[in-house]
Amino acid sequence: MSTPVPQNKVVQWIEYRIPVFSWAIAHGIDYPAPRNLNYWWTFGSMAMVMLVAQIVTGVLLSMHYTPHADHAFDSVEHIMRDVEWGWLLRYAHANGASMFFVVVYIHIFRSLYYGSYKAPREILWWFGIILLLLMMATAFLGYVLPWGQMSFWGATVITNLFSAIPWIGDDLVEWLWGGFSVDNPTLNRFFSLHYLLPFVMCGLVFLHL
Amino acid sequence: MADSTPEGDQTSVTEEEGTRRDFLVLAAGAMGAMGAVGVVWPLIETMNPSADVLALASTEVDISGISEGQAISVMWRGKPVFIRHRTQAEIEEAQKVNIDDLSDPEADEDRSYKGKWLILVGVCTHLGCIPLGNKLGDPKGEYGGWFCPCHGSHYDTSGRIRKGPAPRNLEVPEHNFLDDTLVKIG
Repeated sequence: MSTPVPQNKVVQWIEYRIPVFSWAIAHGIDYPAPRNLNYWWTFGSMAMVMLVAQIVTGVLLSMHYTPHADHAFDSVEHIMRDVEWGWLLRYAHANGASMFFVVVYIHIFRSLYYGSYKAPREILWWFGIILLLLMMATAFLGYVLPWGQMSFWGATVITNLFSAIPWIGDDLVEWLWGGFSVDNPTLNRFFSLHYLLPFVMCGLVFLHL
Repeated sequence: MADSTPEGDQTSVTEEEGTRRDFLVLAAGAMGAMGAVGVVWPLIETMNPSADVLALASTEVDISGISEGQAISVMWRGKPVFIRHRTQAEIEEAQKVNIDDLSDPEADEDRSYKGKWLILVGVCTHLGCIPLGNKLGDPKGEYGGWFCPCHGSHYDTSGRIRKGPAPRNLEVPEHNFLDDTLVKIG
């Protein structure tokens, strides 16, 4: 039995032109699910909530952040001391990233424990793996942005991992850095990618659903 | 507890009183709404001027060096502020105007300090250009005050709009003379 689309005139007008309401009802309310799902199945939705929360706090943070080697650290201090609720914003974003991973790990262990990766859900699992890799990349890029000692040496160590690749390693690392060491060009591109990747993840989440 | 809510009570509750479920839905909804406001409020607040911006919200200007007939511009909250030391002739001209003839009626006494000091936000009330007339040799317009080159608004020696498209007089910012040579704007 499907839930009827509301008879409201505006809703009907939109529904006729773009059937978003029936789509939302079909996938959000009427979607058939086994009755033996337990609370461990809520962690997927929680991960999505965390992604949205990270994007909201991140967009607000970027309004006060300066992606330049000389100003990044000062702008983060500015967020902590001067911006209204800035300390909460930054802590919510930084610790929120950790909580995001906690939620996602539980989500992954649930799927391992209950065999959710098995046929016919292999592709779903692969998308999940890609999402996890993107999450780790985004988190690493974000870790670099405050441009403190931990950020700088973190960036140095992780990017240097790529130098272990035979033949192309050294050239690849220079390409990643945009120079001969971790410097301002690196910080700029890390900020750009840190902003981009979450939206790529949003798109993948729809394929993962 | 048992004697106040015997089992049969739940079925006998009338429509007007509402059921326990109605109450719980309402209470949970209210708690949820409060939580949502509690989350959204700080997020919106982060976009307000930060403490370092607010710290620069007022400025103190030493006006002892401005001789009669001279004017200076100082920056305040990102806008130029005109501080003009008016001559006796300019003061008299500003005071003799019939207020009813003005499109934005305002007495000169309400705009100046001790007659000779006039402090204005140097932003044309039409579309935000900076009027000329502060520097020596600038055109001062037909009324001897300021002239906006963008669309030809003429302001008089009290900074009031006299001719042209601007709807209001040049704004007098909130200011306070700490003594005769020091003024705090903002």
